[in-house]
Amino acid sequence: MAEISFQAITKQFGSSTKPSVDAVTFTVPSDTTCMFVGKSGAGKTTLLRMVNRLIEPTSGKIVIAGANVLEEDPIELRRHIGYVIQQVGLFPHMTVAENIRVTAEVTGGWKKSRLDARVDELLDLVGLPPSEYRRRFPRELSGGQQQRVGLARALTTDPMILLMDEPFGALDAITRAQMQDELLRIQSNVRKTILFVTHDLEEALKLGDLIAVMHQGKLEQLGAPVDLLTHPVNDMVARLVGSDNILRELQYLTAATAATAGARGRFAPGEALPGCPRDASLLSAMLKLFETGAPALVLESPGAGVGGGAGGGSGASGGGGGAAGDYITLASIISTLMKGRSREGWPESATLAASGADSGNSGNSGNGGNGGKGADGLALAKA
Amino acid sequence: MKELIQFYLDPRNDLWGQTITFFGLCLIPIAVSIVLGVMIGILVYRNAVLSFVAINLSNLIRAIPVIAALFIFVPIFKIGFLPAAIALSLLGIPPVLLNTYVGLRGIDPAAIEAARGMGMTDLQIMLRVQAPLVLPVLAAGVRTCAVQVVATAPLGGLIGAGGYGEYIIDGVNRLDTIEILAGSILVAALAMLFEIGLSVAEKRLTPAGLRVRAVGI
Repeated sequence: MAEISFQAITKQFGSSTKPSVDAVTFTVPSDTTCMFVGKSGAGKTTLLRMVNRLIEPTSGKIVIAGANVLEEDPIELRRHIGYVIQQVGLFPHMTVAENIRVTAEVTGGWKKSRLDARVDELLDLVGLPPSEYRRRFPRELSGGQQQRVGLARALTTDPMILLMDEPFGALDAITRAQMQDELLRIQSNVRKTILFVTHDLEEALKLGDLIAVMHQGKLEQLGAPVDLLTHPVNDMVARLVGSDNILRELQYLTAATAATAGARGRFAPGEALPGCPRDASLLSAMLKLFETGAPALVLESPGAGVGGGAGGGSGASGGGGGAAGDYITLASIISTLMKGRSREGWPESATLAASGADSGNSGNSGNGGNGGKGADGLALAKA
Repeated sequence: MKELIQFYLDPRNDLWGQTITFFGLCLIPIAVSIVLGVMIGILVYRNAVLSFVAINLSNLIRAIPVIAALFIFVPIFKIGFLPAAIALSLLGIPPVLLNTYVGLRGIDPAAIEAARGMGMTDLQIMLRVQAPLVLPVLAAGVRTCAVQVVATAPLGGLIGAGGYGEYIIDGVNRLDTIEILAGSILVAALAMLFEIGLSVAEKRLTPAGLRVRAVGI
């Protein structure tokens, strides 16, 4: 359990007049992935590197699992924190296996046989078959493979915390997407507290449980990806996350957020409606509506057998069981997108159309899905 | 050929003693060059100003004619072994220093960053990362230094440093071709021996990971 708490942490580099990181306070719960986003120079990397004290804070505290890291021996501290950087930094004179072992060798206290097994285990974890890759040298690996080894190396001693500084920033788009999927898979296996610096917002939305938006050394907003999209605290955050980006909202909001109950009466009883998992993205729900031509989708309750599109009317009555929102319609999706969008800069007509669509749902705006727009009621689609 | 062997066997020519002197005249400056060159290289490589000074000074020293270097110390240390050894050390430092510097600068900063990030101490970084990566470059510098020192050492004979140079200088003075030849052959053989031996060492010191050709996958 390694909760990381930043307490008024500040870093002012000698030559500059303004602090690079300015009294930042927030807490990253144990086993979550927190993404640091912001423009270059926003202080993301400085903040990250203060956690393992590669940069010494000017003032403030960083508390990991109850202990202030600034009172610990930096060498010992770093040995218990995994560190992955964009340039990977594998040691060119060592084989892949040696590169992974060295972390444990430096820390000490590992038996050779145990370490051999650990190397193979880690290579498997990062998707590099040990028999094939153990003896290779970094130069013989592609960029993506090198970063896999970099990740494995950071995990050798099984640290509770992983610091990642734009680890996939130098990779091509396809490899990057692959590595992101791998990281999600690995994180679901190993459960670390991950702090991850990125300037790629899609990456932040995809990987983050939490996103910390930094701007000029200050923390602008900390929240789940959905929070940032739906409730940006100011224009800067809104612009950065592109919360006026409909496609992005469609991708990252779940079907459950557009659930509506009021549609029930409008369909013939027993009419077969396609189903839709609650944690599917709005985009996939919308596409399904278009593909099937159905007037609505039935939200499948979690845990119930997901029978694909053949859920039908019986599925609706069985799975619905009086829950607040059971259906998704195009109108309910639109009304979800329009929520909170009535503010500045949005064309009047669109807002009108949205409210029109809303009222079309026979006054159901108070139902669970639409009403519960608060971030805690929303889950992130990670399809 | 017979006369040559006779020359070598003649006890008056003290082949053994001159050999010891000559090896001393080579090995001591080489050792001093390595120690000082590496130390200065390590001290300056992180500082732009210091390294600028050190490198340009090295290049200046290289520009000094060998003969001049040899005689510079005569007024201070008189003639003999010492001024020659000091002059040779001075000549040997630049290649070692330059290669130490280039080798250290050539290490990917990301590797050092990663090493620090995983909790290596400065000593561990030096021994586990920097040393293996610098060694092949340093070895090339040591080879240049050694060959240069061995090739220059005979000139020590001019200031009475002893060694094989004495045969050559003495032979020239007396127009004794056998004596000149006896000295020259030994010096040439020794220079080649150093060159070959150190080339092998250099290859041995290059880590396997740096030898393999990059294969894009």
